[in-house]
Amino acid sequence: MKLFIIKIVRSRALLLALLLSSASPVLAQAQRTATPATTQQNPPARVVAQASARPAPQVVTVIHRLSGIKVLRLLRRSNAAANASVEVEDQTFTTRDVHTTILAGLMLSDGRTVITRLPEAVAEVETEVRTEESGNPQQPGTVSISRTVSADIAILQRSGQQIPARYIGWDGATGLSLIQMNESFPPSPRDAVETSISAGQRVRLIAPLPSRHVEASTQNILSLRIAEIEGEIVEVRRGPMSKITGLVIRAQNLSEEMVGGVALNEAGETIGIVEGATGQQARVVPASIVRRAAERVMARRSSVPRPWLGVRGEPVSATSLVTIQSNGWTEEEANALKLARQGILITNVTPGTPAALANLMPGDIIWRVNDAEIRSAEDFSFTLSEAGGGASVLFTVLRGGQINMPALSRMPVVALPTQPQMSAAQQASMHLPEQLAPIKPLSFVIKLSETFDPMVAASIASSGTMAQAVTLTPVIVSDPWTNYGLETITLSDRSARMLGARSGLIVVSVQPQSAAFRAGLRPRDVIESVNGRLLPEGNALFAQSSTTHSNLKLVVIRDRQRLETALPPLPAHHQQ
Amino acid sequence: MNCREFQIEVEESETGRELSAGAAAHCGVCGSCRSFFMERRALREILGKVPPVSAPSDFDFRLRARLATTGETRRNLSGRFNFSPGNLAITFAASFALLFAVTIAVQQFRSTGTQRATASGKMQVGAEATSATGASTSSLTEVQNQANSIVSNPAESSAVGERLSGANARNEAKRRVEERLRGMTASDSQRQRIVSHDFVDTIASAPVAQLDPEVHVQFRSPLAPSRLFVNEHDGTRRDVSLKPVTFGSQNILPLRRASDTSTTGIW
Repeated sequence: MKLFIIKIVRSRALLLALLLSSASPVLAQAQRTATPATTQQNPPARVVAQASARPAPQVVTVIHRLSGIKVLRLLRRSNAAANASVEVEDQTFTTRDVHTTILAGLMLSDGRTVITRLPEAVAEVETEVRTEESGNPQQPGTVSISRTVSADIAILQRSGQQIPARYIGWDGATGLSLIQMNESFPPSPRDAVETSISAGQRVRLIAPLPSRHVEASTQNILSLRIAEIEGEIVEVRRGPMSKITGLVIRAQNLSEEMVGGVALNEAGETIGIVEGATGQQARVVPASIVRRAAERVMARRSSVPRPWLGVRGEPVSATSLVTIQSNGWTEEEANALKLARQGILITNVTPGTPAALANLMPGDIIWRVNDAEIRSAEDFSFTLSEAGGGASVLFTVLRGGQINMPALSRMPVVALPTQPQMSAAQQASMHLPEQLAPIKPLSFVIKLSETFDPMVAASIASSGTMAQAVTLTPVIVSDPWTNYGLETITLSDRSARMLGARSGLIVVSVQPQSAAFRAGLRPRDVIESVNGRLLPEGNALFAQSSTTHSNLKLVVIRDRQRLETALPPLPAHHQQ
Repeated sequence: MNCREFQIEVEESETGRELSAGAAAHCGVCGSCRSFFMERRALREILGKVPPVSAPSDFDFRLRARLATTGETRRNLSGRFNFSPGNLAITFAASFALLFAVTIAVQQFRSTGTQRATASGKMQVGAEATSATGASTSSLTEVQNQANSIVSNPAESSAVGERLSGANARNEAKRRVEERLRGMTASDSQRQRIVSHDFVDTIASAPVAQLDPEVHVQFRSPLAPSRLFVNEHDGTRRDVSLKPVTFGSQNILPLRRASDTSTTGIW
């Protein structure tokens, strides 16, 4: 019995000891955490330090809303759903806002115009590309006319009021967009002088960021603030004529939220706009290039495509010796080229483009553009952008002696021009390395074309014939509907039924002044059938019918109402 | 012969063996395959020059001894933590203690969450991170003071290093305190990360200063993600989820190319 009592006492003592040992650290921790609760109730130092007059008045907050139909348009234009059908989650998807981008904008000196890096600006652009006669049958010029649909953009004031803004256009060379308000803001500080920008300078990256936790919820209010991150310029990239073509800024823990932010120096002057941020580095488009982009768009009052030469290539300085040799250069020449660290090696020429029509070839090295020596990809992009689409540009080209020309024999469409040799005086001014002296540089005057998306343009032109490539629009991938000025995307049967149709294609864009526009078609319409055949199965028949001279009878579902319309036959030059 | 066949032949061929006629012809016309072949050949030559390494004579014996030792350790560990069903008092006590600790921890977690939610409406990121570490800064100071007193006062250090004496005791005590300091610093940095996660999941945890007062933006629809599905002709079904809001210039569709226009290599 005594032994039993001792056992019980021992076990209780053990229990008590365990309880105390486990509770003590927890209680101690609870006591430690009691202190910050009182600390957090006091306003922190940084809130007190907020200036009444903001130190960066040129930075504004831009709000860009995208409806479901614009997201479908993006999907269509990104070529991500070219051969696919799309299923939307509910019938309101196409009409309601499905995404909002909040980012920084740089107010220009007029206090009304804002330049910003809208990531999905392509959803707001309606482009019509026309071929114009340039007087030279070898180089037909193209001109792009863009008209902007009603973009849902607003500038957020410090009071929380949203001022509607209209979309002016997109600069293809920089990816920047220009928007404008009716109201005016106070004049903004000037840009930093280029000569004052140097590595080691401290800068501030300014952008709107969310100020509290956002969860997927039924709430429709978001809180944000303009915030800044301090950084330092670590590299100033200079191009031809020592102009700044880019800046690299180092700052801690950058994220994609800072892309589009505005970089200021310590005096509050504008340095540029962030175009990319990874890890601890941000790439910044300098203010001078930003201003030029704004001028280009304002001059046209519409979007400005990128200048389009029609080549793929890489800077010689970044190309391996083997690659240079495999493009028609001897080992000695390749070594000399690498040492010179100048030029762009052309690796591919897209048929039907200005480069192809001027007889540039893979293996050619673009040594100079006008008077500018080309040493990097940025130099080349910068020089072409400065020239602009439609400009005639002088290219100085080196051509190796071992270039094979098998591809040219398959292109009898165009009579190739003779090789334009340079004079001895011009050649002497080029300061070619000794090993390259025997090579006769060639000079080409090429009228640049234009494109909104070079990658799409390159793929279109590569897949088509030369004659087709000249007339195709660079933005819209060719399908039978694009000839009528329509962009469509196939709906899944379930989604079509949701919108009141048996099946069909949803119209995501209608080009202004096009045949489809005149026929009354509008975005969000569902084309159920053509000439009595249900879509999309009837699409093949439609492609065939589009070459005929009769009207196309369409059944269209709009807001669950069934409408009938007719598309007239296409003009002869659109028929394939 | 195409590039893939050439590379397979190069990968599978033995060192020193000549290329087949087809491969040699391909190597002559394809620059990238030629450089691939030369790189592989150079790599094999380098590897061929490395002298062979032989195991020591008692390697087998040492390996078995090591395995035996490891097995013994595992057996000892399992024996030490063997809870027999007859030991009810210990089991009950441990369970109760665990339950008590979990209850306290849950209560503490809830109260911290409430404080954080309240504070986030009034404070900015940097300040919140600073204040969240305020408490542990005080405890850090406390431990540092303890370390200093232990080092400066041998009498106190004797309590910590009971079985040690003189300089050894001081060193041991100092080492323990330093370890505790390191542990607390690590937990502080963890806490900072958690605070920064209070905001949207991709926001930078960089030192951020807020310039403007907080502004509230009202949306026409709730901040819920939208979805659409892309059904490819080959039967693949892709789920595209759209965030309701993104900050900065980010492509919203996963398949879209980045809009960096400077270095695409296409002009």
